[in-house]
Amino acid sequence: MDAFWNALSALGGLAAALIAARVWRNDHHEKVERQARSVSAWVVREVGRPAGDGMLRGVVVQNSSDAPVSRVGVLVDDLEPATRGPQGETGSHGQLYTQIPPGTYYLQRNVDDGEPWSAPHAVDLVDGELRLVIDGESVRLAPVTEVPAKLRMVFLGFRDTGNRQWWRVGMGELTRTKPSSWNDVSLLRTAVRELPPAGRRGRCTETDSTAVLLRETVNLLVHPDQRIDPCELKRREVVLTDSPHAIATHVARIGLSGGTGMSLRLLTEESLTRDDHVYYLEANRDGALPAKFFYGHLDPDTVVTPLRAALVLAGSGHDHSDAWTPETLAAALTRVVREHQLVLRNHGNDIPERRAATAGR
Amino acid sequence: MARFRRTRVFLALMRRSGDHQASDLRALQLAGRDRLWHFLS
Repeated sequence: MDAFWNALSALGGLAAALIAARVWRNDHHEKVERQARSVSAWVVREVGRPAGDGMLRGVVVQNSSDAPVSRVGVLVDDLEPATRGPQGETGSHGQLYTQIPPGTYYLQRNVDDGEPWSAPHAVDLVDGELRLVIDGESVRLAPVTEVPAKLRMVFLGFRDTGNRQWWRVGMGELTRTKPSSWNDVSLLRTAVRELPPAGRRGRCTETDSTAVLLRETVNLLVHPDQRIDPCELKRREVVLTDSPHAIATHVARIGLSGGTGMSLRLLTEESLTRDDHVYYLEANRDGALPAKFFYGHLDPDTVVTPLRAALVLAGSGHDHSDAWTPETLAAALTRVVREHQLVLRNHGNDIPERRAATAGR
Repeated sequence: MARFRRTRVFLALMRRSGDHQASDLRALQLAGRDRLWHFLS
């Protein structure tokens, strides 16, 4: 009889150990995944200086976790004519960094001989702007958002503290699988914010759909200074991108997964922080193309394009989700840009040759 | 002139890095997508 109880006790102990191991493994995986979500990169340019005047261009890598990540690989397509090859081919310039500690770092593109990218240099966030102080000079940096971008991320690769390989590819999606084709890798510019823990969400209710959106949010392309209120995630998402197709694809994805109706607010960069300068694109319930497009309080002199705009998807109370497809939305956005002759503003410096109308790719 | 400024900043960044934390932020030169791709995979 004793043998029976001893065996039973041993089995119980074994089960408890298995459960503990499983809990530890889940916690561990969650922790390393949280770290991976906290690592991002996006291309930047200097604010307030024309391209012909030595404007700095580079990449910002942000590690918002509390531990370093290792073997951080950055690959960027540089489409500046001066950096193309003899046959005019695209210049792809990669660099691998041994380690990126927690913090935000600027990598300067080098067009001379030698290393294609500088060593990382810490940048500060001052009044919502990234500041690089070098040789006594303070440089302001902003995300590159125009189409076609002359500098764009191809991928960001890194290893977490558990030595697991991660990638950010495409529109910033985080993956552990190396993409099978370079054709899948087109654009990456993302900034990830750690979302507040559930206990700080006030009246927000954690539901399955919210959880899905929370997870999706880390893949969204958001302005690094844009704060996302998880309370609003069920009805609002923010996308900052430089491609109507990228916007449209994302809209379709959210529309399909969220199943919510949406109106589209196309914002200028300024309106990321202020609530004016708002475009509205409102879906026609019966059709795929927008029925309305109207300026908010937009000053014609400060017109910006979707290239430097954020698209806010807001639940409108109507179900228009089936009205949008990537193709129809891309066509609609492109049409709007053409019809209104929206001009790209490069921080106060027009770049006429980059009319947004050419951006319908 | 424009190129000069970029080069000057680049060199300053490299110099600064070498000054204080070369070990942690050491960059491994690995230009080109194929080589980088294989190294990371």
